Amino acid sequence: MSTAVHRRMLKEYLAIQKNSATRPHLELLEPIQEDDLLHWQAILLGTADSGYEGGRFRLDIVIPTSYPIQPPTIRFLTTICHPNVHFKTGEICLDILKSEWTPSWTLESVCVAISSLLTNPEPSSPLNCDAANLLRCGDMAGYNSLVKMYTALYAMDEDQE
Amino acid sequence: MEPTSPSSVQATAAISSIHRSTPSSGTSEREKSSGAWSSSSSSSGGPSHLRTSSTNASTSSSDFVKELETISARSRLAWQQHATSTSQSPPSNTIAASSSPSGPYQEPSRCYICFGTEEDSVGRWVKPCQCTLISHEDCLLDWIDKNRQQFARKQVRCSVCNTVYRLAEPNSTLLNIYSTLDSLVQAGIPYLTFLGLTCSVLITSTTYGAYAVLTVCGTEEGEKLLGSPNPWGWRVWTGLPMIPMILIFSRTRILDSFMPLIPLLIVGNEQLQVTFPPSPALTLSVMPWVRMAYNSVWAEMVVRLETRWRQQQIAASGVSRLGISASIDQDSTATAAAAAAANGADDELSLFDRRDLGRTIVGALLMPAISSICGSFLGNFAFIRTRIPDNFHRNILGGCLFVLVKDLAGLFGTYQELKRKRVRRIREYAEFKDERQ
Repeated sequence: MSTAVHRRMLKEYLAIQKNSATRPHLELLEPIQEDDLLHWQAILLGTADSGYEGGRFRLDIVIPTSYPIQPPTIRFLTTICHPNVHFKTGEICLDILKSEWTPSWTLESVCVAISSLLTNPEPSSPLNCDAANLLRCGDMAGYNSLVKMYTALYAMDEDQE
Repeated sequence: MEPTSPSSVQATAAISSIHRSTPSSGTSEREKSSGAWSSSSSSSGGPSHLRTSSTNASTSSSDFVKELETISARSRLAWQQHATSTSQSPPSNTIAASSSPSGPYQEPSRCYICFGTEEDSVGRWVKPCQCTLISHEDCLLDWIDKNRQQFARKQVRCSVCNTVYRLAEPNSTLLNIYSTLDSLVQAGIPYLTFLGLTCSVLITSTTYGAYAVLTVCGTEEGEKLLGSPNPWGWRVWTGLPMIPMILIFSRTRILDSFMPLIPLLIVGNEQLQVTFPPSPALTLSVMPWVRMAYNSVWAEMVVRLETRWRQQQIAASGVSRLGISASIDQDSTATAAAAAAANGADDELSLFDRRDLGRTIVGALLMPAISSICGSFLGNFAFIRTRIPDNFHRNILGGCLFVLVKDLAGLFGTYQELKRKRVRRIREYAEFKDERQ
């Protein structure tokens, strides 16, 4: 057991439990099993006034043993229509998860970053070209209705599945 | 695919990371936690302990709880020692601690990388930059090493205040030379790969060129044409690798404008003497002109033939399908057909389309072997053997005949296809319903 990563995850977990009230768009952020601090799950809530409103988006978070030197691997389990998220695999294209990672990020701040990526897409580096092309052409009506449709399709009745 | 960097995302997260990893700045989170701890410890240790364990018990398994408890117990112990030694009146101290985090009590400083504190971790502490982030030396060295994996001299900065971390390293000249060389090699790998690939293509092309010359000219004439291999002149060294490329481009019209110059460049003037029968060098220099003449004559002929055929087809289909006299717009159909045919002929020679790329390249590269085979086939006939005594000219003739036969076959195929299209029709069901399947 590499103690450094476990100690850090434990402390992150404590901090997350402590200020759960201060993050309205993060419904859940916790280890999937209590005895495995290297595999987490999170649920993001779609922000109001965006196409994701009302959706619950499940994230799968895998912590490498070299964390926090190496970034965590995060992907969407819930299908989501977003220019920077792969529609099928849920892979997220975000610099802080790749080249711009530094140890001063925490799981919580990364989740907040992903949550704000939802409302601030970056169509110039797309993983979902169809969504990005709508944005690039300035078709906000089309983009928003597409996002709304996929949110309604996949992110709303997750519990019934 | 570049990772995104929405500025707002970075800003939000940077702020939150500062909050979390700043021991002395008074954030809401800090005040809350230090206030809770100090108040509980000043009144009594019991409730706090109970509260911590109960909240943990509701969310965690036993192992986890134990670890948490040791941490909280340790920090409480540390606090209590601190409080009893420094302050005489616990209530006032509590107020002071909660109102100013920089007072006598400070939250144990935390390594921003491993989150270890002075209580639960060991190691030398460093404050490498101007902001409040501190860390263990080993943790920071790990982070710097990870960043330097690709470039040994990369500067690593503090993620909050952007200060470059400075290392006091023994300055070894040998190590510096080694790491510079190492990163040069690392950077040079793509170029070396490219160079190697180019060399192997060049060698393959040269070998193919030599093979082509020897196949077409025969061993004896070929070696005479190439000159003594020890050493080959620059003409041979440039000419041989160009042979496969020229063969491929001869299937297109791209190089038509200076194709005739290429053999002159390679063969050189000294071998060009007009004799009869023409020497291999002379023959090869004349071949591009022959090719161009043939191509233009052929294109002309094909255009005419195809125009006539298409015209017939259009006329026929006009008559049979529409049941009206085709003579109504004979003129316009004729011009349309001519244009279509001209386009077709153009395509044939213009680029790789219509015939696909692979077929063009393979066909071009097989040309020497084919002409050699055709040449030796021609050599079987006594009539030809007496007229054309040497292998080389028979091979050239064989190659030319092959091209002619191939083109004629293609034309014949086109004709047959058009003819079939002209006469074909869809059978009525009534015609074949009695036939056996």
